Amino acid sequence: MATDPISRLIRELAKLPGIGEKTASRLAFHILRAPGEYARDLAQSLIEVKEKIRLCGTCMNLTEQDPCALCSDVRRDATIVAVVATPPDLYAIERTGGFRGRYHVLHGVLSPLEGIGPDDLRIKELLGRVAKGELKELIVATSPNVEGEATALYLAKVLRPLGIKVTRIASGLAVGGELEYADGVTITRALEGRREM
Amino acid sequence: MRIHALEARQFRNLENVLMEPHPRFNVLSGDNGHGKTNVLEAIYLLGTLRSFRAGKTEEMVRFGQPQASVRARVEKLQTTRLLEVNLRPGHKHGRVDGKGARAIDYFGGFNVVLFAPEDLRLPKGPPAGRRRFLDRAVWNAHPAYLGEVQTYERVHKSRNAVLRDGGANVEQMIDVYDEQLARAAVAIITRRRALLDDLAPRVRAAFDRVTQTGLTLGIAYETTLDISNIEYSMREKLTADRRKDLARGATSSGPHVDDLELVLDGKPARTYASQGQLRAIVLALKIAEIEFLREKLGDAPVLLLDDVSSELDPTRNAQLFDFLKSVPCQAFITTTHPGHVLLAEERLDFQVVAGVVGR
Repeated sequence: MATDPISRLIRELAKLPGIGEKTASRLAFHILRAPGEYARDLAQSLIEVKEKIRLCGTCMNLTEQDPCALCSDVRRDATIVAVVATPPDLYAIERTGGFRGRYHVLHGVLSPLEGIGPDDLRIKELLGRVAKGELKELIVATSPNVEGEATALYLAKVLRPLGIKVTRIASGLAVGGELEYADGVTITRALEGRREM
Repeated sequence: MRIHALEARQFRNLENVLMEPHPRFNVLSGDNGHGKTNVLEAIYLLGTLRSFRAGKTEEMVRFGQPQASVRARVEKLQTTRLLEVNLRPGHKHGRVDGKGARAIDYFGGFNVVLFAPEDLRLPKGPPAGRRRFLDRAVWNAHPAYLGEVQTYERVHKSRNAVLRDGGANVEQMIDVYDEQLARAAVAIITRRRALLDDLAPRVRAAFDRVTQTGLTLGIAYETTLDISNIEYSMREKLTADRRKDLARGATSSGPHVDDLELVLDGKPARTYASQGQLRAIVLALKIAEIEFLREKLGDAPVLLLDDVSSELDPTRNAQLFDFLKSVPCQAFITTTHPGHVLLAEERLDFQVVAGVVGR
């Protein structure tokens, strides 16, 4: 089966999310025809990403060096930590440039339906960081869906007894959205989270 | 609301159906098993993105075919749109005017109300049937209810999974889902009760019209929770039931076990109503639902009647058609006996034979 290199490449590419047989085949022929060292560079970067990237011992984000650049940046406030579900969530916050604290990546959310419990997330590591007593506030920045909310509630339950301030990112109406078209839960949330002006 | 044209391809046994329905009454006749109900199912699917029959998406695709599609040009409040649902095994995709639409945006495009023989079991059957009646009526009026129900169901299933599988910190995990479930329950119960408030006077009036005996029919929301503070009382109940729930591996209280109470002259209809009264109750519920939707949406929903006449006695059947004639709506009526359909005017007859719909 694996003798034909083109078919093999197509099969491997088709395993990627969002890539079907057709796209995989287009990509494969593109790589084959690409000039110079493209294929070698691509292969090299694929290998490197797997060999060199590991988890930061502090925040559990993906990194090449431990501690990661975010954890070793002394200009960042080390007492405030945003807790996120995944590295893409971390980068979403980081892109805003509005947050100057540190992070903690859980690598997932609680989902009993998929058999994911507290022990499957990097919660122990977070408790370890809190136990050191250097943190003042944890901002739970998981998504406002069923699993994200459950994770936030759980974290609040296990963290509050440790005497640390636990906050939750606000949820409600989307900026630029229209009240009329928002669903009931969103509007209820927005009303609960109202602010004096 | 009105369907100007309907097309079904490879949908169940309908290979390639193209219909231009009458703005009022469309009577589909044919022997059982030839596909009459499939036409209604196709229309229902366009309105709700769901089937009213149990089963998987693949069962709606004609045997041996890779995919099915249902399309219709529909008019609602003077606006005409092209609605389309494409089905592949495991996939269901709605499109509006050729553009893909998320389920929540798709809704509200077109409303249908189904009246099927199963509905006649509503008063005496299991509570799930009555909850489904309520939920469908709420959905039709408030598309956002879909998201609220999905959230509740997901939290409910998650709590049950924790109850069954235990795992690390099980008590704290249950605490989490108790809190979430109590919050999600508020939206569901509030919506259902608001609907009943709208429906109750209409049900009473319709029942009176149908029976003309002076007996009154009341409807109420039946729950073990204290409705003055749903969230708090649900939490209390979940906490009190925790041991029992852990033993059962299931959640004992909440909107998923609530019921619609039907009261005939002060007594529970389920035990005291006669056969004839039970049918009159169902008829009154359906009439009230249609009238409510018509008022709420500003346009009457499209009605789908699946062989109901054969289940009703002649008097109720006549009342049903008198009501239909009085509502400015489009209806699709299936029957094995076209003579049961008591409509002389504004009627177009179709014959359904082996998946082919002809005039």
